[in-house]
Amino acid sequence: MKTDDLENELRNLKLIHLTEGELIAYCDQELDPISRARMGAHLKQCFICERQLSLLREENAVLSQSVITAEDVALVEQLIEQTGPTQRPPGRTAQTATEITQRERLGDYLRQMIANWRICFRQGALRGERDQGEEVWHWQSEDGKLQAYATMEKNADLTIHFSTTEMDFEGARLHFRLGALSEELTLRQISETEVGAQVSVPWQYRQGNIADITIEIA
Amino acid sequence: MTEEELSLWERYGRGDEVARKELLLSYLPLVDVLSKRIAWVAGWTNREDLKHDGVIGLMKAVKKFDVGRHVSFKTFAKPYILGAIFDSSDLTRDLARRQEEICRSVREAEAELTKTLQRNPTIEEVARKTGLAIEQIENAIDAMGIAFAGPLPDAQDRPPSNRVEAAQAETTILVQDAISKLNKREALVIICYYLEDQSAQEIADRLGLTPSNVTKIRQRALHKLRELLSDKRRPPDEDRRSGK
Repeated sequence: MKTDDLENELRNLKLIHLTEGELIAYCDQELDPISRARMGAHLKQCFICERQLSLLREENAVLSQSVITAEDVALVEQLIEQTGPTQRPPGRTAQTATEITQRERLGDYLRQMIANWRICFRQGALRGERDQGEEVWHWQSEDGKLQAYATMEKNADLTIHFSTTEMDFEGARLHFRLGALSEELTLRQISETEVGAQVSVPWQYRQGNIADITIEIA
Repeated sequence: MTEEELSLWERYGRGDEVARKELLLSYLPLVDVLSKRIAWVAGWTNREDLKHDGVIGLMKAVKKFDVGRHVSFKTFAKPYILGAIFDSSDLTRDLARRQEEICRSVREAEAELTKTLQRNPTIEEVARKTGLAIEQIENAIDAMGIAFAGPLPDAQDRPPSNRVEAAQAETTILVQDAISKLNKREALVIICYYLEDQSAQEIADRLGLTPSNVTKIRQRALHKLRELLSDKRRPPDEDRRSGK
């Protein structure tokens, strides 16, 4: 691509409207800093996306400061009476709310991290010459509490490191899979303020589709 | 989701009707805000009637929501609430149709102006082109909310022969991906310079660099982007020929 073409493509990026998911992620501050900056640049210039974002913010604000009146209670009771009791599908009832919150939080971090990995390695295997110890991927959650990065080792293995300042996650077990490689990881204390884990991906496992990754909470 | 909220869903999952009522009450403000936006557009409607219909939509959403799904209840419930309000009478169905028409003409005008001006048009420019009042445009976006996002309704019906647009969309994805592979400073310089139209001096002030550093970083980033993009665009057989 010629320099002028590339520069035009870059200038055109600000014209692309944000999707529903991007707007929600932007509003809920769930984006990495680069995506956030890119979307912020569009929002500054697009009245449509900017207005939709303000609608989302308004909705979040009313939900956080809600005042329920006697009329509201009466309306809901009247409609419940009209429609009768509902039968819910069985939910997750065995865990305590605290466990679910912690698990969901970790799950959210992992989902964002995996999405970033898949985008980064969408093209398949790592290409080109890499230096020993070179960082080939780095991700940090929007709140800065979870970090992950991958480095290339001397023997061409790839090491992926995870660390978090959320000490509550200590002991969490993760099922890591990359292509045919499958590993069980446990987040352990690595410093006074961090827990973490690392996994080594032998070179032969990263020859296929490196984007084919899952990390699940065991 | 807060612990309190999770506990409510948990109790509701066990058939606790009190928890159901509490869930409905906690999300009632969402019905309030959505019905208020629609009532603003449709001056002839009774806001309390719209709210009543919206609560019926909310009840459906509560019944169908699965906490295990990784989507917020607010996002899940909005189409149910809006659907119940718009579908409650011929008048509101007609209102929805009219708002959709406004949204469509706004988006078509916006797309056309973007091509011509090579920038996102202002609301005033779109109003002039469509012959709509600014307030009509704002009301339509407010009433349809997030439904305004996404492709134009007829976009899916277009023949797939529009290769120029398809290629452009692919290029955009490739360029976005390539930016995400730059280091943070390079990516920010590119975004500030090309997307926010900031000068080297402004970027330098923002990132605590000198203007000449900004220029060097930008040139380096462009070089990296060109390499990343040429690598991605090389046909597979060329990869084989070159032994990669």
